[in-house]
Amino acid sequence: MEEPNVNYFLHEELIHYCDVNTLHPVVDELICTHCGLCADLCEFNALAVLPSQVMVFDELCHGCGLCNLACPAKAISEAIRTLGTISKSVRPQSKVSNNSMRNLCFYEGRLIVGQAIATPIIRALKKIALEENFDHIILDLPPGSSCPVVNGLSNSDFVVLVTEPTPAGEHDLNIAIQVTEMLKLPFGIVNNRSDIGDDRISRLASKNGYNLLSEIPHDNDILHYYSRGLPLVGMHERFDFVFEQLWHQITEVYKWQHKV
Amino acid sequence: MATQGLKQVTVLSGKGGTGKTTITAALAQISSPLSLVVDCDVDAPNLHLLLSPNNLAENTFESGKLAIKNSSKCINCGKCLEICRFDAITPEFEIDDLACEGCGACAWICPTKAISMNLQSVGLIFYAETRFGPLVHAKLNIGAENSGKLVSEVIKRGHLKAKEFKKNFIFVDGSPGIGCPVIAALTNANLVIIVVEPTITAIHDMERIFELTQFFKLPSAIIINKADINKDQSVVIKNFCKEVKIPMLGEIPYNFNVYKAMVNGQTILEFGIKGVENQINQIWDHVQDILDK
Repeated sequence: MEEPNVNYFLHEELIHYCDVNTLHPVVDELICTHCGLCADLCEFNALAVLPSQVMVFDELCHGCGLCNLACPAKAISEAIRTLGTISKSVRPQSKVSNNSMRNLCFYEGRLIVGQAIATPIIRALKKIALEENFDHIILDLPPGSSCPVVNGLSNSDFVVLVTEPTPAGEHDLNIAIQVTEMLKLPFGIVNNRSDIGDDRISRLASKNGYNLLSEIPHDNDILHYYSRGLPLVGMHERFDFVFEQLWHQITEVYKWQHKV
Repeated sequence: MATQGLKQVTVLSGKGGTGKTTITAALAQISSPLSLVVDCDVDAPNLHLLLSPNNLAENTFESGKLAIKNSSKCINCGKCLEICRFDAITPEFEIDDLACEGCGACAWICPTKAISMNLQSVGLIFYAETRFGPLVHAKLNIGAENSGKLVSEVIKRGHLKAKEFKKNFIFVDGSPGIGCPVIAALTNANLVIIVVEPTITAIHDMERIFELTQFFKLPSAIIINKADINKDQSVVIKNFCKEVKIPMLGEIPYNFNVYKAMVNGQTILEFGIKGVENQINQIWDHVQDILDK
């Protein structure tokens, strides 16, 4: 949502699906007694009560509504603020040439620049996707390990962690593994650009019994296609093979872990 | 040194993996001993892997709360479930820690005071020494909320240390994205350096970061990293700089040895990658010129 990039490779035509909104307080200064209770209760410091004025910091507000509920003078109402948007792919059947993508549906969440909170967009996206009965839902999550990642990961059936064999890659992979294990989710690792550093990722995987799903060596063609926004699948047989194998590995590991 | 007062340079990219940390470490080295470095990528900090810090102090940072239920007081009235806007109360009136935003609405409405709000540890903040000078860095607890508040605190401590040691420059290595930790890393910035690689996706993310700097009315400048992987896209970036009238600080060519340097725990300057030293020197001169204005 913060940096939505998948569609630079899918090239889907998108239409606006919905806005993701949150609420923030609006204070009626004529009714307000400036008692300060709202500011005392607010855990996010989104309100400051001065002797004759209340300041509202929208960007800090999480939209919990506590100030509105608690106000003894009933001076607070709530206004809608848009955090971001969700778009959906439109695919006229005639345009579809690639058979394997025939049934692909794509949703994109996009945080409005200047808004700080991306988590509600992830939650909304997941809710929308779950309401449709897809066979598979693939979520492309942001880097890091904070709230958007945790919210995105929760309830996943399988997690694919993509890393590279450098100290930074290994360090961040370990953080991602800790988050995934905290949520008790099964996972596998893709060692991307597997020959740029050393053998630390394969060593880590074999030492801990992690599933190494795929090792993709550095390839100048990949770099070139990537820089131009071209998807790898369909560009060359060797890439098709890599991703067919990866998908096969994911399904095999999933079956094994779920004993089906 | 003509620069007056303490100046903060925040390094961002929007997209991950464009080379923020690599470039921040090189700038830290070239500006040493006038600078202090702050790693604000608190959920996946990497600067310490290049700077091998010797941690001198460690503090727990607490912020934000989590609802805790006392089952013996709960009368199953369901008011908490009704009031919670974050789906953090299960149908059995238990609290879902991961969904809880810590707003306290459930605790406020609970007629039997069965819910209390507990302060949470967000992460650890370290003050360290490195071969290029002081480093303030942090580690977000696994799955913790409030990374933005941790970033703000890390920057605040960075400024205090920089004043204590009479440094002229603070380099802030930010996190990817444009959300709360990034916005927090922009606080007090005198210049925002956007590190971009010539790929469609990185350019798109650069545009969003640029828009964010405009939103907060902060001056920005661009560094193209891995500049030769797609020359056409590098031209697109240069044209963007001209169009929006922001300086192009320099171009760093793609070089496989960057990964070797990383594996060795060295900066690109220490590893001695051909052509890089001139580029970094040029970038650093340019940055000082901008800050002097």
